[in-house]
Amino acid sequence: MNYTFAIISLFGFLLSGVAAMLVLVRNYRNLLNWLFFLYASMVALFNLCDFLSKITPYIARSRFYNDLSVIFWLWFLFFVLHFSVVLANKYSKKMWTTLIAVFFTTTIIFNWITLRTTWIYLTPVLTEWGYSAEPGLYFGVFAAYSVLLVLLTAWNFWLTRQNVDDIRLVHQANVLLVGVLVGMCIGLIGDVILPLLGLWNVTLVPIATIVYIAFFGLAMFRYGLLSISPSTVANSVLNTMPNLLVVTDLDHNISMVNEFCLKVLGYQEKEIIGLPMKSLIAGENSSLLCGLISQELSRKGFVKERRLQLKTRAGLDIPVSMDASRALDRFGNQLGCVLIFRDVSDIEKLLAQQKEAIDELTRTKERMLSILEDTTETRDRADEATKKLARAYEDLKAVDKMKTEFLSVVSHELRTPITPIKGYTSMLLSDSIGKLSEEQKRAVQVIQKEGDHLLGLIDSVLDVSRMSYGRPLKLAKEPVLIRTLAQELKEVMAPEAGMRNISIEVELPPDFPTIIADPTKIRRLLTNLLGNSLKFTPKGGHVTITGASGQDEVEIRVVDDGIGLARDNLEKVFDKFYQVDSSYTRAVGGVGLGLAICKEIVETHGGKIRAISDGLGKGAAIAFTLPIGG
Amino acid sequence: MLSRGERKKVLVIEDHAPTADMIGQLLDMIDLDFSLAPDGPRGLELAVTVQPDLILLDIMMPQMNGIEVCKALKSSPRTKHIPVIIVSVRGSNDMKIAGQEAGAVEHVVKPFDPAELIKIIKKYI
Repeated sequence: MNYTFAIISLFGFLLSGVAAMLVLVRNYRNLLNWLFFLYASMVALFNLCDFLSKITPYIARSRFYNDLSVIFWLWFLFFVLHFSVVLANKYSKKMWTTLIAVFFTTTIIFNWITLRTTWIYLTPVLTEWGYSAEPGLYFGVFAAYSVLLVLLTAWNFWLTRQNVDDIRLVHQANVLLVGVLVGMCIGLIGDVILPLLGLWNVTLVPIATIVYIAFFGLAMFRYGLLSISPSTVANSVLNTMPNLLVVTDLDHNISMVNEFCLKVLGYQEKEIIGLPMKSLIAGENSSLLCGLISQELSRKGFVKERRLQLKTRAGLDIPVSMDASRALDRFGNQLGCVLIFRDVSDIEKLLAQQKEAIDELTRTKERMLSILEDTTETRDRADEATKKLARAYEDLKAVDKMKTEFLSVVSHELRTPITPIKGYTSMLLSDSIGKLSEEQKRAVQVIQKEGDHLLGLIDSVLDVSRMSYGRPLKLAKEPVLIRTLAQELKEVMAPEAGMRNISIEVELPPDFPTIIADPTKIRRLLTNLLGNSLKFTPKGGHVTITGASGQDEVEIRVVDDGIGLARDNLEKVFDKFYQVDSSYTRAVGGVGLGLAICKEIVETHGGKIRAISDGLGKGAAIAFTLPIGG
Repeated sequence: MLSRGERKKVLVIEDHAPTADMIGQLLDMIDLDFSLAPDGPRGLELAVTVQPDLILLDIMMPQMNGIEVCKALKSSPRTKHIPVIIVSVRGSNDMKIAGQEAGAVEHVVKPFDPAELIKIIKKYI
C-alpha cells in the first residue's frame, strides 16, 4: 500500500491545527480570529478524517470517516466565506447576512444528505492509495456548491483589496485571493476534472487545503492581517479625535473632513465635500480671513492657535482655535491644507465665568473696603461714645462723692440739733434743773420719745442711702454675748412694751455661745427686730427671743403673736420701704426700712435671715443665723 | 463744796451754741467750771490761757476740725497733758480711730445720754 496521500492529509491536519491554535492564542477577543480558528479547525478535522478513511483496513469505517470529512469540508466552506465577509466589512450588508443564513441552512442540508444517503459519494473502494470513495449521483451538485462558495469568498477578498488604500492591506488581500483561487484550482483538477476523465481516483483536496492554510498564514503573519496598520491607526485617530479636521485642496475647497467635524457642524459628508472653506467661517469678512490665513501658511508653513468662529449648518457660531499646516506630497509640492479646529466654547465660557468671578471679587473687595471705612467710622464714634461715657462716669463719681459728703453733712446737721433736745429732756426728766409737774413730765417724755424716733429715722435713712450706693457695711468685730445683749435690750424696751402690756421674754440658754460680730450692728439688729415685733403685736401680746446653736452658727428668732404675715409677703418684708399693710403701718409709724437694714447686717456677717408666719393673724417670727466664729 | 476758785475747769470747744449751752448746764450741775469756745482757733487760745483740766471737743466745726485741733493741743507742751474727749455726731469706727490717733482719750457720739457723758467726764476729773 502507498500511504503518500494519507500522509499529506495528516500533514494538512497538523498544519491547520497549529495555525488555528496560534491565531486564537494571539488574540481571542477578535471575531476574525475566531472565524479563522473555526475554519482552520474544520480543515484540520477534514484532513484527519480523510487520513483515517485512507488508512483504515475496514470498508465500513472508511465510509464513516469519508462522510465525516465531507461534513467538515462543508463547514470549512461556510466559515471561510463568513471570514471573507467580515474581512471585507460586508457583514452589516443585508445581502451578505442573508447569504450567510442561506449557506448555513444548505450546509445543514448537505450534512444530512451526506449522512443518510450515498448521493455524494459511493461506498469506498480499495485502491493502491488506500480506500477511496467514488463520486455519487449528486457529486456534481456538491462540487458546484463548493466552487460557488469559494468564488464568493474570492470575490470578498477582491472587494477587500479594492476598498483598502493601505499597501499592507492590499498585499494581504492579494495573498488571500491567490490562496483561495489556487486552492480551488487544485481541488477542481484533482477531485472533479481528473476523476471525470478517469485519469485519477484520489482526492487532492487535502493539498488544496494545505495551500489555503499556507496562504492564509502568510497573509496573517507576514502582512499583519490581524495586526494594527498605520492607516488603521490614522483612521481611528481622525475619527475619534475630539477636534474638527478639514482638508482643503489648492482652491481652498473642502476635500476631506473627519466624523467629529460632521457631527459638530451638522453636515452630511456628501454636502460638505467641495464646499469652499470660507463658507464654514463665521463673520462678514470670512473671505479676507481665509486669504490672510492662506498667506500666513505659505509664508511660515503653519498657523498656530488662531482664534476664529466656525459656522454650523444651523447657523450657530462656535468659537474655535485653529492650527493649520500645508499638505505636501513626497516631492514637497503642496496638495492643499490640513486644518484642525479645537472647540474652545467651554474655554470661552470658563474665561467668561472667570472674568465674572474676578468682577464679583472686585465688587466684594470694594464693598469690604467701604464696610471697613464704615467700621472705622463706627469705631471712631464708639471711641467718642466711650470717652463721653468715661466723662459721664467721672461726673457721676463726682456726684457720688458730693452725695456722700452731702449725706455726711446731713447726718451732722440733723443729729446736731437733736443733741441738745435729748440732753435737755433727760435733764428735765431727771429733775436736775427743776422739778416738773406730772403733766409737764409727760409732755417732756413725748418730746424725748419722738426725738429718739427721729434719730432712729435719720439713722435708717442714712443706712439705706449708703446701701443703695453699694457701699458695704464696715464691721468692727469682737466677742458678743447675745444673751446679755438681748436681756439688756429687753430692759431698754420694757417701758414701751409695758405701756401696751406686751411681755418680752428672752429664752436663750445660759450657755448660749459667744459669737464674733460687730456689737453695735448686732444691737441695732436686735433693736430693730424687737421694735418691729412690738409695733405689730397688739396689746397684751407676747414677744420672745429664742435661739439654738449649731457647730458653726447660731440661729436666733424673734417671735411674736401679732398680726402675722401673708405667705406672699414673707420675702417682700425685707425689701426697702416695703410695708405690708399701709393703713396699719401708718397707725404704728415707720418707713419700712427696719427689716431691710436687718437683712444687710445679717448678710454682711455671713448669715441668713427669713420671715416665718402661718398667715395673717397667726403671729410671725424673724429668724436669722450668724456664724459663731465671725 | 469746793469754792469757785477751786472748781475744776472744762473747756468745751463746740460750734453749735444750743449744744454748747446744754453741755455747760450739765457741767454746772456737777460743779465744774467751764469755758466755751465756738471754734478751733479760739479753743486752742483758751486752752493755753485757761489751762483746763479736761477738754470736750467737737469734730465738725468751721475753720479747723476737731481732729486738727486735737493734734494741735497734743503737739503743744503747754496743753498736751490735758485729756481730750471727743463729743461728735461722727461715730464711725474710722472717726474713732482718727480721734485716738490724734490723742483723744474718749469718743462720745452725739446725741448722748447726759448721764453717760457725766460718767465719762468723772473718769478724768
